Amino acid sequence: MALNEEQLIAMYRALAGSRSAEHEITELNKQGVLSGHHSGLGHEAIGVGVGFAVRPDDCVQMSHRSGMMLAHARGGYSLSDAVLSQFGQAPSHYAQTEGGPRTCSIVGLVGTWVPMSVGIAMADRFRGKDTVTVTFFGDGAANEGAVHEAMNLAGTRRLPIVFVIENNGFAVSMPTSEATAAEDFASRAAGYGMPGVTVDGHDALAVYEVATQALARARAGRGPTLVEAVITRWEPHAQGIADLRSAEEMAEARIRDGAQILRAALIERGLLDEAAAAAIQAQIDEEIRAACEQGQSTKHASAEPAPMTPEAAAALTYA
Amino acid sequence: MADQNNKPRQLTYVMAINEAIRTVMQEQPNAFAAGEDIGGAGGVYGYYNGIQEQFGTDRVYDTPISEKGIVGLGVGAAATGCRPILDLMFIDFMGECMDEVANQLAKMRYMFGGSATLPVTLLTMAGAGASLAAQHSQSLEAWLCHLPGLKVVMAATPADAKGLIIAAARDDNPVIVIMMKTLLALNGEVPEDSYATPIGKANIVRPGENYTIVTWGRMVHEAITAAEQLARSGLDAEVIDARSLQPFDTETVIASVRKTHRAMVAHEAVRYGGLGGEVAAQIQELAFDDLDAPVARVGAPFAPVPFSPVLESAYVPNAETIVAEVRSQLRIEG
Ligand SMILES: Cc1ncc(C[n+]2csc(CCOP(=O)(O)OP(=O)(O)O)c2C)c(N)n1
Repeated sequence: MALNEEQLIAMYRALAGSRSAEHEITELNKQGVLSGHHSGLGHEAIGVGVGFAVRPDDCVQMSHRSGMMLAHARGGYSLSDAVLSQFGQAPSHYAQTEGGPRTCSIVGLVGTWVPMSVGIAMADRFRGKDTVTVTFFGDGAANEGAVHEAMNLAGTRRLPIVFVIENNGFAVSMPTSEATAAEDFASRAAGYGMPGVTVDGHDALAVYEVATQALARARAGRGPTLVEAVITRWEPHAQGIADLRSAEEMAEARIRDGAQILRAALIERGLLDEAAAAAIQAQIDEEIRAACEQGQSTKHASAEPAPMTPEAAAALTYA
Repeated sequence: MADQNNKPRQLTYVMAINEAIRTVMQEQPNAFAAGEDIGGAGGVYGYYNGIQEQFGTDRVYDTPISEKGIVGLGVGAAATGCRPILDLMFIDFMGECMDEVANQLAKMRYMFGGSATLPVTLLTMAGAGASLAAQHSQSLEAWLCHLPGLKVVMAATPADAKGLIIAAARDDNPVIVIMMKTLLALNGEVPEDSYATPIGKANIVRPGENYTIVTWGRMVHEAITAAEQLARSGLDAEVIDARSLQPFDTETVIASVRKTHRAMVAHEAVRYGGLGGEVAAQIQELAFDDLDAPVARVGAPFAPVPFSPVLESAYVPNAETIVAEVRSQLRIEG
């Protein structure tokens, strides 16, 4: 399904917007206003590309990198929400909103959610739905045993699921090349009896294309696909963790830029010009600026608020 | 008198861990380390800083994210003559490798009729207080102490961090050394030489006459603070850092209770099913007639560790929790 002109502009808006929001959040962490963020800079095109390809009733298990971009691209989650959530002033993109697109929050143990995603795909088929589950994880998480079991299970039952590996070349300090002796991750798919595709994760249109095909295949009952989206991690693993790359390597990582790539593609197709892009950017900047101002003022106004009473929190332990 | 090289100097908990690992690697040619991000990055908490540089990549294996693989390879290598130091970044990741820990590491010697020796040292980080949420903040020592075949120790000070790691590495049994993330910056006196803190021996960190607090990990420091507060109400509490949870130094605890007649067990782990229940049971079995009050227990509520710093600080037991529990146990007003 090719995207029409309006959808392409919307995609650009989502990509440029989530890039700017992520940039702002990353900067606020560097300034010490916020802390602990795992920056998704460089991962935006994956979230946006898949976000435009899925249906609202498809279930997406998001990752700690492209999750925000994905939630924004799927709709119902504004840039303002993205920024304010960092100040505890809006629900995070991990939260499931009533009536909103189906998403699953990340869990803190990497890769461990992949078997659960297989369970979601199984339940959806069991209940007669034609929905597909998409599950994101990193190149590092791909080396967890749970991920192999999950992909094998999905293969045996030809389940409607798409596995998306965000290969940013690193797991904290470990370069992908040292974490696996294989050339790539896509070729692992053969071992599970499913197709494996490698895609440039900085190219939102290419990601969209690959995701659309994998979704269609799964929806048609032809089974899972493994998608390896190759990108570069622009920032250190998380705020406060030093990066072992040289300044030169860090700069190199930023050369492939998803927002610029989509912008150039749309300009080439005559769908966008510099002035229109600048107008979109001005709106984005204004929304983010206002959200930052609101976030910072509430942060200063009150000490860290408790989201609920300790008793209410403890009561969440059981149904 | 301490000799020249054994002069204590101030070292942080994190540097004491680092020094212990270097010492073990130097003393034991068959020791190697394996874990995530322990190479050039020096570990996410920095206690591996410079170690791969010093000992090389053959002896310091920076692994992929494969906890099951890390512990499993440690079991195999230990059974065949190596002395692995395995690193599990967070104790919460025990879930990923629990088969290797509970069913292989703990049982292999027994099941092989005593012919296999498993000198594995497993280092892991526990505890709440850093707003790392439900899956990176747990205290799971009770899981491990329930497994015959394992030894479990927990370091509350820089000196014990070093001494317990060295002791673990010299032990021919699997020893899990639990370290506390909130103590990493704690300074303390640490001897320069190589020394082992005996496994199975508790440490009376504050002698007292008429109350006993048995505790471990970060709670040792909270118990000392609590004891100081209680001193103002005329209670002279003895604080015992159990240090070794498996085997447990029952003798030291019972001797203390025989003297003080009242006792509490305090830990950061969830109270229900926590090791405190075991200790309380031991006290009542062995010193029932000496007790003037039921043994009190302090632990976290029966819920996961909250992410919100405000909720987390309400959740994690501390000196105030201990003082309040003592007051209610002994019906002390105000
Ligand atoms: C089971 C488990 N092991 C280790 C960790 C610690 N950890 C958190 S993120 C991370 C790196 C993940 O790398 P990758 O899957 O490539 O994703 P990226 O962060 O690079 O996007 C590690 C090792 C964890 N959270 N869970």
